[in-house]
Amino acid sequence: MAGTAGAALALLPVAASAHAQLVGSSPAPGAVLATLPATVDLYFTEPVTPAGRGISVYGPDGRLVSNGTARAQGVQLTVGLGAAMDGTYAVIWTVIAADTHPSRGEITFSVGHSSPVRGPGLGGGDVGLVSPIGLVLQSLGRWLHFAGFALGFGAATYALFVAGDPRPMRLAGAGVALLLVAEPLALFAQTASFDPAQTFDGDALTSALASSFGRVLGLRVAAAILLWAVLGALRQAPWLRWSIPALGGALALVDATAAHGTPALPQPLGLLLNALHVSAMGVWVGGLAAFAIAPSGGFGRVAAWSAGLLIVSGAALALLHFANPLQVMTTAYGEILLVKLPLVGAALYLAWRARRRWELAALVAVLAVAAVLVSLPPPR
Amino acid sequence: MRRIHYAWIVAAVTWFTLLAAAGFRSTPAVLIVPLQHEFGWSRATISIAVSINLMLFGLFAPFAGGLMERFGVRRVVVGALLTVSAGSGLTVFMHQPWQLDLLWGVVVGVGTGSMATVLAAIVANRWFVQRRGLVLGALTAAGATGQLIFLPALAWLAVNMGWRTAALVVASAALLGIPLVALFMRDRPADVGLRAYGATEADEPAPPLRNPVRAALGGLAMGARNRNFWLLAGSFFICGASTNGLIGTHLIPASIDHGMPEVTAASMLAFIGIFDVAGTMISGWLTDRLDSRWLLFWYYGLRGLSLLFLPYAFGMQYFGLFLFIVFYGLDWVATVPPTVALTADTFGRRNLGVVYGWIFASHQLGAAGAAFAAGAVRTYFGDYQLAFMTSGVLCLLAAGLVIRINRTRGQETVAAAPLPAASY
Ligand code: HEM
Repeated sequence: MAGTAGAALALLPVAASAHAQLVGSSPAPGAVLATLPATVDLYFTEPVTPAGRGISVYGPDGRLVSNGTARAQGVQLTVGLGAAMDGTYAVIWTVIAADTHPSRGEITFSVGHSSPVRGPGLGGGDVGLVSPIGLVLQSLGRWLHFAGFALGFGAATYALFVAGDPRPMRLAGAGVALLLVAEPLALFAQTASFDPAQTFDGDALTSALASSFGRVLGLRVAAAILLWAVLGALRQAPWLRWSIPALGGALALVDATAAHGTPALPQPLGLLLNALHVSAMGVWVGGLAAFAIAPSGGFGRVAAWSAGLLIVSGAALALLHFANPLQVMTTAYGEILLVKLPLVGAALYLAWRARRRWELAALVAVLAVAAVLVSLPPPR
Repeated sequence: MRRIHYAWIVAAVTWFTLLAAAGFRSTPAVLIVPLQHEFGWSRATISIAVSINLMLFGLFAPFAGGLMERFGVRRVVVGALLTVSAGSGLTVFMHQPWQLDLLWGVVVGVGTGSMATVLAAIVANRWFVQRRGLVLGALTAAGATGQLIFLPALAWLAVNMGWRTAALVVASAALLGIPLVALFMRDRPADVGLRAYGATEADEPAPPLRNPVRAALGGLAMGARNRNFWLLAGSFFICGASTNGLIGTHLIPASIDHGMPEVTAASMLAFIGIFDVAGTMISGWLTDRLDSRWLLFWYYGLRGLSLLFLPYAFGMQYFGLFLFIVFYGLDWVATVPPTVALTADTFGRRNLGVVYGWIFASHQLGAAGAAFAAGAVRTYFGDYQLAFMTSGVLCLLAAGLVIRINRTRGQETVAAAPLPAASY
């Protein structure tokens, strides 16, 4: 079991980064061409995998004119075009970035003259490069996942290592249940992010599951089930309790691959930083919930240490995700971070005043905000 | 010099029988393509016969257990060999899909099902008190490995001499087995004036005499009331799904999808078969010494992790696949000896045959289900990733199931719980 963390490290994808954004295209957005080109080429901020068709091009008559699934080559995505007709073409792209985050967008170009855009369109109102409902579902899924992580691993670790009292162990069972609810939700969030109408569509779901996202999802479910197995085994093999924090650390690493990459840091460092943030979160939040069931004097120190780690690693993450301080005010990501900080402050204050229940409530709110944060594209 | 205990002779005969039966069972897999060429039947059509065969191989097991209790092991095995021989030989004349379903599916499925691991369980338990785990391990390895190692030879026959030759070779092999079994197989140690190997007075089981169908259904009724039965059957369902069903059927096409030559892919399965012999023998030996639940916990846990690793292994070319073959191969059927031991502990050796028969049926249901589901997933997703990851997760689930089995009957309890009874 101790090898789990090492194994998880070995399985990490090569270049995790943030949500893929469109940086260029041929034809350029809004271009008016004399004849229809043979292909549409899109260029992204990072290597992408097509989701579903990847690129769908709709002709002036609203009919699909692109051929099959787009081909990905690093940061470039290409699809061939079929019919030729004068008027305006709509290009809709749906891709998955190396960090499994979905993104989508639309550009248009014209042949000969422009005409009203006829294709299905994205419906507008996209937040953070995905459909609004997709963003909500993603955040909800992550929130449940974080809460499940905290209860599953944090509460058990507290019971086994800090309090030496088995009563909070049932929280770990609840954590497993939360994790198992969160992961399917994350799947539907992924499909809804591309197209809410296709949330339950078989092809959309299968394509999501066959992608890198599907792999991470599989590992997350596996971690939850493994935790459940270990909880059963603990009764006869107390020494196995070490596997709980180890497994928690491994899941934190898996989560880190699906959080935003930090292009400024060597990849393993970025992952460790992220995993550290998540693990410390688990120890504090899960420990606090367990403390309510079986208080132990040792918890104060543990909580203080994890809070400290959270602040340091959180500050580092924040620095890494902003190119300049102004972005804190000008991007959705920055605004959400500005909501997170006072909530963290409130939690710290309540912890200091030993108002445990309110402290827990504040932390649950912090988790919700963090869930939104990780669902939005960071400025860097 | 002391004469060799007759139990070993019975074990040897059983070993060959199981090896052959497993080979017979898996033959349809190599016939799929030749049959498709000759008759123009679709893969789906032919797969139905394979599914029936896999299902009956398991579903008939409890009844075979009952039959053996009633008519004796020797007669049932001779009958089964005759059945297989007839089923396989008659295929030479078929020209309609339903005849394939009937012969390879039903007849061969029932025939091989009567010689499946229930036979191993009964022989090991009647003839051995000491070394039971080891014998069971060896017998089980024969049953599982037989499904893999004959495939290359049968495929070669089918390609070079035509599928009819392959079918006739199977039919004659089954016929050849009959004198061997008739001469050397004995039902019980008492028949040759012996006690079971390593048995004392107190161990002697009473010979049950029951109606086979009633016995089989009674075994199910008895099992269904017991929580351990469901835990064992559930984990064994997953076992079947993640071995025969998934890897046994789909590893080759999946490897080809990833650009591996067919011959290389086929030898990978053969290697899994070889590691499996080692793994199952070791497992039998361990079962004699350690807590079976813990063995299963680790087997399923490691199998689950290796399956989760498989999609990544394909990306790492041969080294990754080699790692997979070793880890996965070592516990392909290593799960059987501890599962049988736990069944015997819970239900007593008297009832082992019928109850284990149902647990094994669940194994084959899992196998048939997974063989079909993975094929569907491949058709639909264009990739096996989901199938591999799902079965990996299921194996971890099985690890959680087996560790929750209660110990009963005269076994020493291991390390008492360190924490007071809690609700986890
Ligand atoms: C000064 C304090 C903190 C700062 C500056 C901070 C900053 C951040 C930043 C920038 C991220 C985004 C990482 C990304 O985009 O991938 C993040 C993620 C996160 N934060 Fe914090 N954080 C702080 C405290 C906390 C606290 C107290 C908690 C919970 C108790 C928390 C829970 C999380 C979680 C769960 C994530 C998601 C990580 C993932 O998905 O891998 N943070 N934090």
